[in-house]
Amino acid sequence: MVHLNYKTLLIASIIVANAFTYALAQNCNNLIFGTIKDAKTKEILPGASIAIKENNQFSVVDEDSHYHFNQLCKGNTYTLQINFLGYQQKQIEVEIKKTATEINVFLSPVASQLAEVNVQAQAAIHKPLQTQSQLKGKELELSRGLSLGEALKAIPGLSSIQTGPSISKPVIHGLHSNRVLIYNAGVRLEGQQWGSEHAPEIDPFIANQITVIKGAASVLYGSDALGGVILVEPSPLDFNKKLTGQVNVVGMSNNGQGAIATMLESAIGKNNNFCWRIQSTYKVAGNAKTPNYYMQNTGFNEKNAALTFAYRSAKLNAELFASTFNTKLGIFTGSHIGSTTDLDSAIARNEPLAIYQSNLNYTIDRPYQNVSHNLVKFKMSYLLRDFGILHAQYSNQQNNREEYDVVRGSVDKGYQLKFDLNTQNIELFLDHNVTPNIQGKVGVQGMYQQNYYAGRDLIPFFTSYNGGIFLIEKYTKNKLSLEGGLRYDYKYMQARVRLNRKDSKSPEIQPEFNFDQVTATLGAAYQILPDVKWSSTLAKAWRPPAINELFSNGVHHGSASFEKGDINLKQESSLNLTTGISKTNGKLTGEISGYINHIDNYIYLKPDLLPVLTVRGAFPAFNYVQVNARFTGADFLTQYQFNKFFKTGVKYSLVRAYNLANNKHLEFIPPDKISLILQASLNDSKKIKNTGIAITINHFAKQWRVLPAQDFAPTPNAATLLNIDLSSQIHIGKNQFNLSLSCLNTLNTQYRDYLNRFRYYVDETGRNFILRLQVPIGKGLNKI
Amino acid sequence: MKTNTKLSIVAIMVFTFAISACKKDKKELPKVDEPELITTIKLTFTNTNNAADVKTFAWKDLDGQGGAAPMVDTIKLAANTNYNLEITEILNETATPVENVTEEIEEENYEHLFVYKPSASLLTVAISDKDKNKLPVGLMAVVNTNTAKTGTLRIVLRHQKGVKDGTEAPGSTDFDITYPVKIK
Repeated sequence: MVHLNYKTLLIASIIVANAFTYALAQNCNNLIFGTIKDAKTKEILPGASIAIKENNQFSVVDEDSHYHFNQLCKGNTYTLQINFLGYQQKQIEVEIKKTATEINVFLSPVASQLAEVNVQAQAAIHKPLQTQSQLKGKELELSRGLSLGEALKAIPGLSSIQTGPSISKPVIHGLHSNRVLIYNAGVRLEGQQWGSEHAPEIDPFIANQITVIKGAASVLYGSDALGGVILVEPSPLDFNKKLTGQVNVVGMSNNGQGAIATMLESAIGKNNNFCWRIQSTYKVAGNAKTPNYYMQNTGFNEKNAALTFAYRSAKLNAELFASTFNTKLGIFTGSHIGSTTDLDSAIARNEPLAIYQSNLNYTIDRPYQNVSHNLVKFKMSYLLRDFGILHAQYSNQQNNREEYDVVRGSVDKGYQLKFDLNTQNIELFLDHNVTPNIQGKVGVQGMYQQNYYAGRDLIPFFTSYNGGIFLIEKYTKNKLSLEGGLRYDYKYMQARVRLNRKDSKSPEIQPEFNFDQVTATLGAAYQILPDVKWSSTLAKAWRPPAINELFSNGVHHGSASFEKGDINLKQESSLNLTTGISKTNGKLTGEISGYINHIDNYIYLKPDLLPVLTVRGAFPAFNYVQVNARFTGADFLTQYQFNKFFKTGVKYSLVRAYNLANNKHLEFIPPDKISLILQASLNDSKKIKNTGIAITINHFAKQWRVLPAQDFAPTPNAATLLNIDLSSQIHIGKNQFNLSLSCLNTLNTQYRDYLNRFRYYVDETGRNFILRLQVPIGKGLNKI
Repeated sequence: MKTNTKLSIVAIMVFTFAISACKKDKKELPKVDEPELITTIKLTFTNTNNAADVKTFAWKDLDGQGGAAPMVDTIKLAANTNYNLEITEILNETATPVENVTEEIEEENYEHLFVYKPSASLLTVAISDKDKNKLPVGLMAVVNTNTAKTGTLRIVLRHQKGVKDGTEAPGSTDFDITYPVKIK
């Protein structure tokens, strides 16, 4: 019996094993292969890239013009996307019916039918292997009308620090402001990052995709990318389209916000080798409302515009981009405090004084900010035979900020503080293929900055020069990608201040600063299954101390604290390990990633034991000091598609940040957040498509890790919020109209957010209905 | 040929950049301007029964916020005596010429309120001046001292632009100073 059992077992296991192998072979061990050639001359095109959109497989064809992909599942349809510089991009849909499918691709050169030097072809090199998330398509659409910081909160691992309802800054893995880089249309945004009440000067309407690179990425993006990089990306220009465009209209109930954004674009010229695009956004909002009262003076308005003009030929692409961003935003009047006593009494109240509660109106009084940001960029890409593509870019940014305080009559004629920051960047880099399997990028970057101020002395005059040189290479073979990069940066800065900054007669001194650092990155990605990918990156990043950290010396009125800078601060440098696994296909999809970010010389404000006595009373003093800090955390996202109609998902993110000198948790770190998402959709009809409802429950935990002595007030309690989104597409003729209605904080829950600096004074905003309509112009369908 | 054109464009760009980067920064540093800074406050006490008995006590922080600690006189008054208190000087001595804030506050007295906070059973302060809206101002007051004792007198100037209602709460603090007091 025993003997027989053993035999049966053996046979059974062999059958099972075979069946399993067979099943695998049946399902997901299929191959697509072929060649990529010129449609006319039938010449081979080594260096052309081909990607499978569904599972992110990517390959560059070898010298035989051959490519292949394996581990494809039978019955599935895949989209092949083929790109080669000087040739029109092509997409082919393939349904896998047999073990090996041959697809030979013929590309048409741009000479006859111009195609842009494809952005996506180089995307694999432009962006590092690192964990990244995107806000695009429907998700981006449902964030229209919100600020950048608010929109990005939908991504696991991201949160935002706020200063009242109108100012919001993105936070990646617990890091923000000077430690997060924002690239706007390919240009490193240089606004006045010295303060959490300085929102990024970005109009999210210009983007059709926002990519967030989570974790240190200094090699490719330069200094300051300790927490990560946010890429605000306009849609690629289409040189084949006649005049098209779209209009977005957004209305919000809570603060009576109205927004209208228009985009028009067209190809011109006989050979379609010119193209232009013009965008404009106008937003106006009144006082925001908490569940119980309106917050006085929290309205804002924003006027933005952008113009793109581009040229391309077989070898050359050139683009001129100019944009202007202008905002005037009110600061909640009840937050204006002159002393610690004011702060304490504001905290002691459950709600602001009745005099600071208001009705819905659009008046903006002191205190307010006037901020403008103008950008001009000129970019060229040139195809060099046998080398790759050479890119050159010059940009010039002018950032002007004026702050208007509540002051006595004699001084309230103008601003109390004004900054003029000019930044010029020049960069030159070469995208190249060393061998078919190795692609890379080598380049130099230079940056010049000049800051002036007028009014109150907060940030001195300064001039700075930065230079960087980098090399990053990626090796791809079958399922494995490896990436390695190295960079050297140097920064020189000269400030101009008076020896005694409080005395106009004191002589001028010009302290000089020199910083430099070598950074490196090492990454790997492995396609474990056709739709399952593991990736891991070890990267260094650095940041020279910011001007405010070196020179602050005065009361910070927002937080009633006396901040003292230190001109001897050293640069921060970090070592960041991120690792994650993602599954992109099938019923169950998702990603999980974890990270450790160790920062040496982390600059932070340390409370001083002795308060500073001033005419406004005693202020708690804080000094900018350096400690070693460690940020660890994880992001988790999973979605399950039950059937055609129902889908559910869970998002979770946590961050732990410790000061390694005393093992205390750092202040101002996002609490844990969990989101539960339920989605249902309707069957498409001829005219009405993609109709669905999404219910999102967001839960923010209490940030209990911060000790009471580390803050002026206890951290806010946990809160659970309910958001509902309804959306649909209406097709009339060839035109597609997108329509959506969202309700944020549906239950009108009263709560305070730990990352809002105004949590000392007011609750968060209450229920907000948002209605959005997207109307196409011209005969083309919109791209989103 | 074409390449040359492009290269020259790049060269021009680099040149422009270099030029703009090398231009001399000749802009003058702005004058020290700390809006609303108050460095000096002077209180004058006049004995209601003896016009010759006038005492002045100063609170000074001449280098503004931070730096050296303020210099504060001790208010010395006689026990069980009535005084007329006047805030005679509120100055910003860092400005040239010295900025007299008192006049400004007098002009805008309907937006300002002085709040007097003596320590327990030391003395009483009754504000004697009113603004155009019949609300107290506090540039003038009547002070009655009690028995001999030491303590403190805290004076807070509230700036209540558009929100003045006679109470302390609205607005923000322009100054918040504390004098030691000796009554004998």
